[in-house]
Amino acid sequence: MFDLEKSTADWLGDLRQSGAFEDFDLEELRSHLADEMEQLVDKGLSEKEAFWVATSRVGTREELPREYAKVNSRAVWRHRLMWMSVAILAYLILNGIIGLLSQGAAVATVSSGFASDLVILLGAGMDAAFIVSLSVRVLLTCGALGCVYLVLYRDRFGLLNWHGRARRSRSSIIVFYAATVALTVLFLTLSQFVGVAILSTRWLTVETWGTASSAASAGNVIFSVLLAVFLVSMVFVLSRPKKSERHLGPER
Amino acid sequence: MTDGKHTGISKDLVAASATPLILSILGQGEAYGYLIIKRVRELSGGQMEWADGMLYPVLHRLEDRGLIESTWRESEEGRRRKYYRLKEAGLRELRVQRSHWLLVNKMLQKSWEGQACST
Repeated sequence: MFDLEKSTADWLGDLRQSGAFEDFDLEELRSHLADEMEQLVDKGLSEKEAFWVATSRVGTREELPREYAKVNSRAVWRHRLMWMSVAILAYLILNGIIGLLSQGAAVATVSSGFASDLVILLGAGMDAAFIVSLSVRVLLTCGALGCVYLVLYRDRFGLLNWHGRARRSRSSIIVFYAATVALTVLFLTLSQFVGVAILSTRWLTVETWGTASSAASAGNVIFSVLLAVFLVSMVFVLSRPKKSERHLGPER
Repeated sequence: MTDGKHTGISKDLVAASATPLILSILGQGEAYGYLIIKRVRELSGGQMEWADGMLYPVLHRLEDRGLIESTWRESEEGRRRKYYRLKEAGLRELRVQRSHWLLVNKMLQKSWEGQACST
């Protein structure tokens, strides 16, 4: 049994996923589809036939987003930004969980009586933290290398025109986003390390180093919280595109 | 932007004529996308067939350029449609386009005069 409502929603949903459409574009296409179908049904086609003919007349799943993406660069970028924010958030959350787990493991080791000495606790904690941060960094490096590989050989993966264009699958886009984010985070972390190293050796004496690093860690916490809040609100705003007033035009 | 493969009209020509066609159709009064496509089909006697969905990006580009404006309205049968209307700048652009196309037409006519042309 053919369900027109569901088929239309599926068709629009497919288009929405390409990220090249604003909400009012889809609304317009929906009303176009209804007009086209009405005429076809009047000519004696069944609802199902009319739907297939009408959707194929509107344009293929490849060429339609391509044409819209040329006009809707804002929508395309909003889509990209949203997924990048999601990926950075995911990274932050993962990082936080790993940190908690490693600290928890250290605390559990102590409370089980396995190691009661504070020095051993500190040593174990730092070892764990070091191993965790090392493995995260190794993972990020792999991701970054993967990104470089993808960029160099993107035509092999059908990523040549990787957004709002033809020949791309969903999974390849996700890989691309993840790799891009990994590279960005890696780059930022490295530049932070280098920056801090230069600053601390240049301007800080041994006596002020302790105060400075505790101030820096407080600043780090505030920055992380602000970043997380910023990212969450960004994803929230970007995932619900508003109808643009400009496109609604003046009422008469 | 459009599909000329059934008619033999080249893609470039279809694309180039899209803007003046849309402007002149809107010059006769406001219309929504489906109506414009139907009008093009009628005007060409079925010889120029547009891939429907390709019209809207062109319309939106014209809107961004300030040549046309749009309003959402509900029809009698309760269907929401986006109506496009020519603006003052669009009317000026239509006049310019018209003079250019008439010039090209005149040039071709002149150069074909006296030539044996069987078609």
